Amino acid sequence: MDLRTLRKALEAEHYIFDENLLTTLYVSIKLGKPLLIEGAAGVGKTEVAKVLATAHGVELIRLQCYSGLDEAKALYEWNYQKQLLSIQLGLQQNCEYTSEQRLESLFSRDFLLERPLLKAINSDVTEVLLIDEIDKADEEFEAFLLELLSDFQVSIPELGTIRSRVRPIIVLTSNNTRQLSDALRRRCVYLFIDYPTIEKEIAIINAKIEGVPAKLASDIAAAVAYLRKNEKIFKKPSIAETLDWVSALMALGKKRLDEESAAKTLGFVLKNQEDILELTEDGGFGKFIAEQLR
Amino acid sequence: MENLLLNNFVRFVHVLRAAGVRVSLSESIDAIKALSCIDLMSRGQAKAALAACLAKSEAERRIFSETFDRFFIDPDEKDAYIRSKATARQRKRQEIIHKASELQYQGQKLDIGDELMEVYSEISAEEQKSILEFLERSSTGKNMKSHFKPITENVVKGKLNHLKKKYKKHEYRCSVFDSAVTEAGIIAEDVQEAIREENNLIYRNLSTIEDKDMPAVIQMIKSMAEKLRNNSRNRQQTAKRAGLDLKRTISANISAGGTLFKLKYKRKHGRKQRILTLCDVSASMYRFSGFVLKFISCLHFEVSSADNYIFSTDIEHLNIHKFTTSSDIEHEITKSRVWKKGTDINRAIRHILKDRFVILNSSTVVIIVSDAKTLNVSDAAESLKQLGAKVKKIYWLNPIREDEWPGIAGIDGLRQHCTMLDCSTLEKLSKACERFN
Repeated sequence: MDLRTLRKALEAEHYIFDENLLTTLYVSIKLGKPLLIEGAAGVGKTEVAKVLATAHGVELIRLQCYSGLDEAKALYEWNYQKQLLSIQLGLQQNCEYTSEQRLESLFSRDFLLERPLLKAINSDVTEVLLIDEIDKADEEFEAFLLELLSDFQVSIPELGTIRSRVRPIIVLTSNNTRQLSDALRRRCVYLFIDYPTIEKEIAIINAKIEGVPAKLASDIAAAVAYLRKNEKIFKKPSIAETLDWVSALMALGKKRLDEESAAKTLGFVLKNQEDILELTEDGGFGKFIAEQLR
Repeated sequence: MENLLLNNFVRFVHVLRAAGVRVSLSESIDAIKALSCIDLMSRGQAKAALAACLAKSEAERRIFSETFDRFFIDPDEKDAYIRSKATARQRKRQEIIHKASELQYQGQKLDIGDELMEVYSEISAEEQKSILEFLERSSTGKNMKSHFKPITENVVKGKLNHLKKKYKKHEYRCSVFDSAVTEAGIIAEDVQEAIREENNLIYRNLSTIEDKDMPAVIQMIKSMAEKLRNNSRNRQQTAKRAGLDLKRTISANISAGGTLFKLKYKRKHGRKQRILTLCDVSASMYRFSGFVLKFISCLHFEVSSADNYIFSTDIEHLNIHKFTTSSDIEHEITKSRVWKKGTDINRAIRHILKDRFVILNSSTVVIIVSDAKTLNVSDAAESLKQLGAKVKKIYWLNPIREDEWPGIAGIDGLRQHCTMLDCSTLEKLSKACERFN
């Protein structure tokens, strides 16, 4: 895939990007290295993986990370029920296998349940593997991933080392709630996605929601930028919340942002009671709308 | 041509490292490979490709961007800039040394060190004159022998140390003797200066933070407190496996017809990490009071497992159930009987040790926020030692700069029994919070 093809693929999926993102994505694919994307919640990190999967014509393989995630849920598990049935069938049919052969056959790939990581490695086509919110996983799981990220292989005690036939495209996302290790960062190409500019946000709104009045889109983008600059607001609104807000206002039949509708739909954009109180005590959107949007 | 590119790249990596970005050899190799994939003539693409491989965090990205913009300019312009800066620094050093050579006692030059020589060159002419007059009187005075030189030297050093605070323009401005004269060093210093200017608030001393900056300060403290909360949650460790848990094993294997495929082991339940904070609200801490109050209130709301105490000559517990907003907490603190009194941390710790309602065990982390200027410092060290034996760890957040600690009586005794961290700026506080585990 060359740069132009990648650009067309992102445009086809209506993903709004800048040259920095495009180049980083391209470099990651060309070097065959995993891509680590960091940024605040809701800026479009997971979307990158979805778009890449669509661009390659494959289904996205997703591993959602959480505290307590282990090998059994991420990599593989033995299909105990199938093994048990196989033993019983073997006994009934009076199989001629020796006990050693039988034991070996029980721990073969036929009895292996592939979880997302193994599925990505075992595939014959270039899969896109998304390891979402890696910062939520434990440090032990992060250490376990290092072999996969550097050599695209995993070790299963009963089967040995399984190397990927075709290297998957691996995308890791992180909200930076904890520091990831240097070992993990070193193995990845890094991309930081910040909140968009007003112009970019307008483009995103227009790309994701059909029929948005131009004035409404620009008002919302400016209002969200205003909220993000406000140091008293702790949880800054994400792009997803911006889109929800636009949808809510459109459902109310609004063609521009006014103080009354902004106050009624504040819960779509601020998800923290303290933040809502801070904004309300500061006079809400009244002053901002009067000064900046009129 | 290839060698030129490689040489330039290697020099760039050296500058990055000098500016504080840790670049490994494998990342350098990746970066070179990345350059071969893109259009080298496009500055934007080259910058993005290098950034992807060399700068692996948001902070490093900022440093990378500044360094890239300063390094990849017209080579002649850059060389001229580097040369002029290096020459200026060399010249400045010579001037300082020459000026300091007039500090003599009976014809012998005083040995006051580079830093104080620089201070001497920056003080006013009047102050210089007064020091020279003192030296003249000392040299020619009755019964003044040559072996009195060290005494005279110490007096001059003391005077210059006192004047150092007045003349130090910027917290982070380094001495001209420590300033670099190489390309990597000069560009790295410029980058660090630019980053500090941009993020002025986090590098500013806590005592100089103004009311208008408080909203930004609160956000930073909230982020740190949130990380502290996440850290304490993540550290609920389970112990090693300790024997088969038959009940759980059987129920896990019912689907396998009772054959015990999956073995479940007993695990000791990890104890939730508790945080015990002792915040100094004495008169000496008053200049940091704005910060301390915000720190306590954010910690209270973000870390539910924190037990908060304030102390000065006595100690008081902050009852968490009473407070719903941060201004309630601040009001309560400023109205308390311990606000702006003297400091006796020994008394505070003794109270903690004796109070049966205080949980002190191997899951408790103690955070002390104080400038360490306390009465009964030797007793304080002893009680700190006793406290350290009962808890997991004691972190002491000191809002005084580390280079001023030697001036605080008895601080070394306290430091032996805790991990004392310089938290004179928000940047240092943030780094200190990352160490909590």
